[in-house]
Amino acid sequence: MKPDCPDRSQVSAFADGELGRDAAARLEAHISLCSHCRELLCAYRSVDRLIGDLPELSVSASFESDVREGLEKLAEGSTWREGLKPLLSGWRPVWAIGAAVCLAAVVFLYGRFDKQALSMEEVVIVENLELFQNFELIQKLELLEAWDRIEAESS
Amino acid sequence: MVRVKKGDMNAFHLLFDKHKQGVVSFCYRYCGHRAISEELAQEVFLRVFKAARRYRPKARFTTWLYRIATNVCLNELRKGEYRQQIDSLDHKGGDGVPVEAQDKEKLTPETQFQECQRDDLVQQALSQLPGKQRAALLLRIKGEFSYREIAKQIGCTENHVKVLIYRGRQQLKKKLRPLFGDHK
Repeated sequence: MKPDCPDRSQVSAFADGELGRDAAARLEAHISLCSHCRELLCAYRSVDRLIGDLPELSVSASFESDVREGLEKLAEGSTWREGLKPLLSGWRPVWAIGAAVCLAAVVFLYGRFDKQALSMEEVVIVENLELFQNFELIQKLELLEAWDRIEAESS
Repeated sequence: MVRVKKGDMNAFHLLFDKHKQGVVSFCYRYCGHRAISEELAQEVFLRVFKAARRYRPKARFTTWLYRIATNVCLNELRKGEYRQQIDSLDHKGGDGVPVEAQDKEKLTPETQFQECQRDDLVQQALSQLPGKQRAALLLRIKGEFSYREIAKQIGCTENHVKVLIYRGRQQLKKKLRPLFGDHK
């Protein structure tokens, strides 16, 4: 490559007809005088021909049926969504969400109230516990009443 | 495509029939494997169908179509599932017969064999190029798109496309030089 030769990417763009009018004219003039750049342009065009001449492939029958099947599935999906659209338009979703929240709140509170109601076994346990506390209190009262006597005996 | 946008399936089938071979061939030239190329092409058409409502006719339909095809191919490359298996054109059989093979039947068996070998070498050299260089070259040479259209398809600047195509050509020039003589 000579020092005054254009950049090789310019030659490549020239091969594609992608240079501006002035740049293309300058490069064309240069190529007519420079065997190196002429050779480069020929090589690029040979590469293009080799790729361009690669045969096109025929499409298999299974390909067509696979695509059509996929399209049908997609179309079904879209009609399903289309069916949902009127239901989801306007204020309907807001009302639906509100109703769902209310229902969830009722279920939650009912569960909590239900837990506060005591079973029979629990009532017996609570009563026994109260009796035990009373018994403890009574014991302590007896101790208090007998305190003077106990103190006198100990001293 | 405007009709497809309105939900006309017949219009989509017309588009599909018109472009299916081009898209399958593009994917095949990109990945070098017939079965994978048909999977990729299928993905391309399904994406086109799904995106039809968002389509705005700012550019040529083919620019948009091959933009999707390029994305699908580049994604396949990124996934790492890509296998560099080159289908030999002379070992296809069945459905995998190149369309131009019918014309080649007029050639002698020796010439046919040589052409198949040459095509295999070109396909192998193409498959060794980095993804974007390969896509840019294929879009330019097989698709005949302008640099501006390729820039939209690949998602880069026109100047970058110029560099991609130049580098791709340089690499192929080195690898395919022995074939320059016998190719007319």
